[in-house]
Amino acid sequence: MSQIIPIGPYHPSLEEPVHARLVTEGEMIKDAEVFIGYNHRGIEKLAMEKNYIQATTLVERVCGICSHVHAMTFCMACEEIAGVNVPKKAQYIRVIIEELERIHSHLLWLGIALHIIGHDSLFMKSWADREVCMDILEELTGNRVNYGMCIYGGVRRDITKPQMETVSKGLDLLEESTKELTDFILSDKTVALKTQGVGVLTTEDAIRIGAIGPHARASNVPVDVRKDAPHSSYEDFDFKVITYHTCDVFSRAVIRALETLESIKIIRQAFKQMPAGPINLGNAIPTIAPGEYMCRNEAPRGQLSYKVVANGTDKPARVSIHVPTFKNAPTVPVMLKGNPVDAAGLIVASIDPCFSCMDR
Amino acid sequence: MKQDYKIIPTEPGEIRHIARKMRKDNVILAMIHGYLDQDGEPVISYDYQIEPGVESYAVRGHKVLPSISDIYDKAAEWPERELNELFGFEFEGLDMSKRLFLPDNMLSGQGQIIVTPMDELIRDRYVDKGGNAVSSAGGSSSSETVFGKINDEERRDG
Repeated sequence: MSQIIPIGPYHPSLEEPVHARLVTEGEMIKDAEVFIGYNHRGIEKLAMEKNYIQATTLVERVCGICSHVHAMTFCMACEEIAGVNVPKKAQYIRVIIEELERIHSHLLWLGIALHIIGHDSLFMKSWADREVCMDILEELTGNRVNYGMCIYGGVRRDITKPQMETVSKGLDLLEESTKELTDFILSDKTVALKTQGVGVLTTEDAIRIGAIGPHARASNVPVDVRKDAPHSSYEDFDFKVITYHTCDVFSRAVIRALETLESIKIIRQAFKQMPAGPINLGNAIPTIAPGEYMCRNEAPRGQLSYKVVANGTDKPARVSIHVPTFKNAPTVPVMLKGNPVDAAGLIVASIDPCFSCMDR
Repeated sequence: MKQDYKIIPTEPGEIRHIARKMRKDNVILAMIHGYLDQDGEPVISYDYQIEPGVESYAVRGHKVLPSISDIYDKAAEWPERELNELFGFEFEGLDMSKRLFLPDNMLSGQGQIIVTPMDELIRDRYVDKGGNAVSSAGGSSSSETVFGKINDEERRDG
């Protein structure tokens, strides 16, 4: 006999509000539905009521984890409409913050996943490493979240030589620790038993449903905006698009651990090749003429897109924000089918959902 | 490098044909956006990733369009449901038996989420209190004024 098990929108096992209905037969999930909107703040509508400078601050608050990439993508779209050339040094600094944000997001997810499977020693190791990354972000931007680094036409703060040296030491620690963590994930029996073969999303399903980011790459789909449509000088850096073939929760953990190492590689290159010059346009910020543009960026969870419609006034006529979780969440019912109920929490978490982003 | 963005004006009758062709060529549907253009006309744009850029097939002046959710699966279904529930666009053939944003049997959605139907936006932004159409789309001052103010303040602060 089939039964419906409702989870959420407010549930002890959920950090953020979402509602799922699991159709079960005995212990096994036969079907599932996901409903969203419990965290809706109307940010797209609010952005239409603010001028471009205010809207940059507002969109940075869409998400507390990937806040920089929101502000950056919005600014990139506005800059493209206005025909602004962002100074090379500012582009490099934007990339550095974006990659640091990716590291802290990936380590946060790895910690949560390890906590869900009951491996709390690795959870604490992962979050201790993340603290190093948070300290670096605080050193560079003054904030642990909502960095306020990205502004229309460039960045707010420069990165000095002494700061680069401090950060480099932190990166050495992070690299060594992440390698250890990766080895644990690849060799630990508990991790293998709890994650291998769980929540499978085949390559065909990932393409059919339109999965993106690390979630798609863990299903062996090599999509990455940084390589497919490079922006902000990403073409200057040597890095790999990591894919893995097992298409399960284990695959998603491996992808994020290895991508952390790639991000460290990118930051090191950015420090080494850092160009001289201004970091923003100073007083020479041009007006935004009527026009529209859609800009894409590789946020920690996947492709983030901002479509901005400008009408020549001080306020955007439309800011359409589409986040990775909106594209990855429809894969959850597919992954849940055929798994036991006790794996549901881990499978939902395996897409690295951000309902704050999705509801925006 | 620049991300190319090409806007291609499209008629409603072409939408499904384009979607089928793109699907066949394994092109990713980046997103379906809904907004008002500078003349207050509703626009739905289908943005396909033709790397390293995006081709945006924009349909102007229509609030009812055929659904492509049977061609692009959830990649089209969720954006279409979002545009329907939050902006009032309609998609023929889209399964609307349940809400995506807040299910019907738990919360009505009223007062919980900010719904901005197109009619309301047009009325707010393009029609004055006397019911006359206004030429300027939204916003009260030009971006030049705002940026000018900021520049003046920065110069004053030194």
